Amino acid sequence: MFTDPLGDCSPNDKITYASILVLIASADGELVREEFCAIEALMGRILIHPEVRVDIRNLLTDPPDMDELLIAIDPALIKFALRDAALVAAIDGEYDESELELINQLATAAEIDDDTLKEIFDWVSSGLAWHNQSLAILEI
Amino acid sequence: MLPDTVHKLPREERFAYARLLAFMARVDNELSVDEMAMFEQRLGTALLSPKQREMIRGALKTPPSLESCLENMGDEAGRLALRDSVLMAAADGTVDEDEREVLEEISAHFGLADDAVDRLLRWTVDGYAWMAAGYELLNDLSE
Repeated sequence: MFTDPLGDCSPNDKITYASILVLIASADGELVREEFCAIEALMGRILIHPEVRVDIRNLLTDPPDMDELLIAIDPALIKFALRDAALVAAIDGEYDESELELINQLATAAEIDDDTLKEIFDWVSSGLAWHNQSLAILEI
Repeated sequence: MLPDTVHKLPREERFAYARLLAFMARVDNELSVDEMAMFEQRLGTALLSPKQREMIRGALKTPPSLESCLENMGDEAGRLALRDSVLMAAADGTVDEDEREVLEEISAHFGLADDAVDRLLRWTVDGYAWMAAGYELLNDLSE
């Protein structure tokens, strides 16, 4: 059910992808538990080795630089990092100014225009709505 | 990867949740990469300690019984585990009879409506369509 190339990318690209998510999560200066869960889930989804995840978690206290990450990552993967960055940023209920700044930086690097960026934000919103429906089914 | 309530559960309930997922992952005696990816994704949201994660990965190799998983498990953890078991069972594209039977058993154990598993399966189909849409949206850019 891998619906994008992240599952098959190189170990180094997986680390860079996850580092971008860490940078987004720490952008507003406070890391909420929901953001941490989202990063853990996304690292699990692409099967990053458990020991490597420890190194990535450590980045939360010393976030990397976006410019360096954009140089390191396979250019074809930037748009997927952008999509998942939008997910992580939305997870606490709102997009912070500093998160949006980084998302725009990713969009520019991926050559994604404003209309497509809006579509990505809409996709995130529809995912949040979809996920919440499950709680009604479960009567929680 | 979406906001959830799993991380708000007490630690022992999160462990029980993950243990039930480990059981479910091995119901059909196969563990595809897709199922493993979904399992690891859900395990991530449970925020278990490294030792607990190790124990859960061990449970994948030697699965516990369903009865021991359900014993003393809280309602919310059990219901969330049922939902995520459906997601995991469907990750390889099909839910076989054995998996379906176990899902119904879990649903009945937690007192959910008779059609709960069917509704969760439809919800899962919608979710995979949403994930595919996220890929197609970006993939279209390179065409």
